[in-house]
Amino acid sequence: MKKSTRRVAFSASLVLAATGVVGISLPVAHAATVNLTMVAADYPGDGKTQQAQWDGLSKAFAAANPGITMTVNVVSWDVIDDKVKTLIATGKTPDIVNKGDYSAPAAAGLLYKASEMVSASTLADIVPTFLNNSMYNGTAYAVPDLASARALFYNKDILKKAGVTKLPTTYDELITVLSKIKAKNPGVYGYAVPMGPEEAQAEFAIWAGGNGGRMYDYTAKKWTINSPANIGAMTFLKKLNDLKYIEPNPAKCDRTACAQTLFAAGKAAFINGSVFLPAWLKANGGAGINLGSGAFVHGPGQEAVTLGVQDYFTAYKANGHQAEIQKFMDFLYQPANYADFLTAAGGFIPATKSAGAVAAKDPALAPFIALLPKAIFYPGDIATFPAVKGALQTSVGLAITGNPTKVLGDIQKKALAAK
Amino acid sequence: MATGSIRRGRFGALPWIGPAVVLILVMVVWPAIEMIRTSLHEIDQTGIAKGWNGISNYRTLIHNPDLPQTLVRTLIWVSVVVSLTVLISLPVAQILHGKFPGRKVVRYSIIIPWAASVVMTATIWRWILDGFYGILNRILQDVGVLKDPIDWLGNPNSAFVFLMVVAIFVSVPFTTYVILAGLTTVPEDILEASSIDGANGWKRYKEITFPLLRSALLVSAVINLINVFNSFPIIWAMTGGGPGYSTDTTTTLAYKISFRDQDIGQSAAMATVNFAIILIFISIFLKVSKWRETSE
Amino acid sequence: MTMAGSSRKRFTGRKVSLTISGWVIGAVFILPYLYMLITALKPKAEITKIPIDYLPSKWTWANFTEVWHVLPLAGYLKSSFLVAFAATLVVLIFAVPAAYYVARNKFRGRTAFLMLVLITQMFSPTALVVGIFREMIKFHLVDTYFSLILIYGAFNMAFSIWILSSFFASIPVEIEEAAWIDGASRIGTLRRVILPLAMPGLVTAFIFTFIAAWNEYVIALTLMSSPQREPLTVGLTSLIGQYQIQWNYLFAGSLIAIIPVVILFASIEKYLVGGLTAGSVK
Repeated sequence: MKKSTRRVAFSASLVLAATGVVGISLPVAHAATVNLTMVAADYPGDGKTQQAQWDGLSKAFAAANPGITMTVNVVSWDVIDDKVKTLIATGKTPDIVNKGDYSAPAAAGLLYKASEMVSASTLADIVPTFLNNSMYNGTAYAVPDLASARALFYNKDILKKAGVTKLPTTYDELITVLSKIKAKNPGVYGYAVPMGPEEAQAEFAIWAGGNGGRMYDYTAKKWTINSPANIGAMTFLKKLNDLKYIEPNPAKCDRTACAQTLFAAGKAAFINGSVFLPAWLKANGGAGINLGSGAFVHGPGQEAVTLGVQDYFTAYKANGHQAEIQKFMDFLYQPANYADFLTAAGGFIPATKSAGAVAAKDPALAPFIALLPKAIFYPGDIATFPAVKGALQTSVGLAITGNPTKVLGDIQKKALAAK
Repeated sequence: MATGSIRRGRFGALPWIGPAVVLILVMVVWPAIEMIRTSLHEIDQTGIAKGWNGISNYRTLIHNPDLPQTLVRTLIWVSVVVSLTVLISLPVAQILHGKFPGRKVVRYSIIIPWAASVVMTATIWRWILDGFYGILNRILQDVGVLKDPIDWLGNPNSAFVFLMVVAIFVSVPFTTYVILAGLTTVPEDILEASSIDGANGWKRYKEITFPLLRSALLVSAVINLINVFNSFPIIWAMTGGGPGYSTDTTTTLAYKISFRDQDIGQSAAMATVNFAIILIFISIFLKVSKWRETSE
Repeated sequence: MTMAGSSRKRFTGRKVSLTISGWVIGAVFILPYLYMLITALKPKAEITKIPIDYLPSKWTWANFTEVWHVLPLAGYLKSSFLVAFAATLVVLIFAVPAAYYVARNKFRGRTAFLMLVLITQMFSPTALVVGIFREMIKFHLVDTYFSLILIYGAFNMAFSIWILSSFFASIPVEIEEAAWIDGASRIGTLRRVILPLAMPGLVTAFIFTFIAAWNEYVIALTLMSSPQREPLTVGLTSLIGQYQIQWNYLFAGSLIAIIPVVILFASIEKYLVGGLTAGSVK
């Protein structure tokens, strides 16, 4: 849900910045019809874009609200950050944006508050955990659209062949299980650990979290990348690497092109996967994998966690369409419409209590929803998080193949220096 | 080379070179100055300039622990890729200059890497070299050279070697064409005369052909120096400069500093230093090759 | 070959080895793209099969037809062609007079001008993307073809002036003088006498700019925000999504994008060799 980094492009953060020009765009004069615009990132769904779903919703909304029209532009995750920044920079600020972060525009004072975006009743229906992750300086500046969580996925056939009947829960149990798997399944890696740039920060958060480690200490207001717990988690992974229980060169192994591909080919027994992994496997040659899922392992004296990731709707003040935006957002969060949105997005965890109650009965989603109370989230509300995330993506994988203390220490230095 | 024998117009050179100069100044020089200015500002990570910062960004850059090895690697990258490109293109051009059945088809096929987008060329090479589903491993295993697959791009050393191979692969076509063009200026009658005099092939090449190729080689070397130094897509699409920073050049490092570390000021400083480096590269090169003699 | 038939045997031996090495070279450069073609013909699930198969189990030609619907590929092609041709036109219109004047005249500022050309040759647009973006905002040119055309034109100006002026200088000035005596104007001479002779040089500048513009990625990505105005390079990478990478379509689309350039290239190849000659001998 964060922006992918595979693409060859210059960041627009760099680019946009360029725009001291962003400046003031004047509210559009009072026209008879208000034309709302929205830019939305494209969730995977069933492989088609979500444009059709948004077009349908826009039409229905316009029919129900004379005097307001709605145009939604669906763009890929890879370019949405650049697109939005470009639009703002050129004075074509959209009214609503649907993507994976909010803190930068919130800090720049460009956004309506969540309480201005939706009515009180809609706001009350949002799951509090998710709304709490939408704060900037104590005020919610975004409305969560949906969330995902990670779980431990495994290949039942491989475990069966190795005679493993019970999922490991601790570090020691995991080592035992992996050694059995290695003995009985030549050519199969025990655990696919994608520490390549694509998603290294997620993998790090999960392993560190299972050892009681976090990226950021909210009490001390300080980054804690090289905390003993985090170093301990990476040292454990290094041990797995030395024992050759994980794929070679984890620091280069990206989630999609490497780890999930290995898992789809039946070459890996375990993987930390997101809610959408089952659907992904079906589309990418892993339809035959006998899939099981459970909780992550944890370090000594710790408890299992999951990583929660959520995305957001944000509303921009530039065009002054607060009333119209609220009408649209409330329309979108009406149960039937919101259910359509979730279906088109494909297999995510809803952000509203009402839809959550329905989803809890879905066997595919239920395990994830059960994990959510123990979910840790990225410190996305901390202004320097993007820089820390970037530093993690570049180098944290080297902690597994090199010296964990030094690698995490270097990242910590970068985190503290980030402005 | 200016003959100076032509009537001057009323406005002198202006109407002739003015438009080109204006376009270059506005579209190239202006952004360049903007970049240097940025490198002297404090920029926060959303990109908002927070005022003058003196050389502080440069100081940060100098203390960047990944800079020294990246500089060394950049030096190796540019010198190896450019020299091997030229060395390989010389015989390739010689062969394509000869007449043989199918020469046209061969000439067209050598155009493809030049005409294809470098990003895509790098992507297909990444595919070929992949440690799990790469075709190179499959072939080497099938012919019995390898027992287990090798992750060619996972090890910093082999990764860097293959990056250079691909950089040479995409640079040879252009270079070959420049040399091929140079070869057409070698007068056939001189070659024939000397062959009648009994000079053997190598001697003929060394004494007649090669000196005539000198300026073709200079042109291609300079253009390659610039392109290879600025080359971004090959490294980015194949290794992302990784694992860690182990296959970065200064060009990809500048990108990583801004995109991953979100330090726009330091990145602009790196880009400015990059320009200084290429300037030094080119001037040394031109000096060594006594460029002026041939160009004036 | 007009070699004296003194040793017929040696001649054929050489020809065979020449032919073989020629074909080997051709193979080396075409094989990766052949592999791209084979990959583009695989069903999606087979593209990352471990270990990989040499050939598709099912030749999925549909990848090449579907990619036109998955993406607005025709629109991308149109954008790319339009921008590349227009940028090339800009280069020729601006570079021809400058190169001609420099080749024929000594004037104050000539050295400064040549330095400007040489130095600007060293900048890549990628390195200057921040500055370019800021400037385009100032001129209200973000998300317009015009911005790309001007930028590609400007960044390829240096090489074109370089090649063209060498070319003009190699045309004997007497030819022009003859035309003036016949009463032709200076511009008229340039158009009717010099340009036809300089055709290979023009072709070289044309193809060099065209390919640079056709393949440029970073600037286009930064400046263009409307899907209908995106060029091919940017449009194709939208297949690399966050959750899915549509490798089959990506490779198919890339191959489609290569074809027009290779055809263009092949059709003017013989001029190209002549044009680069001029650049390399004074």
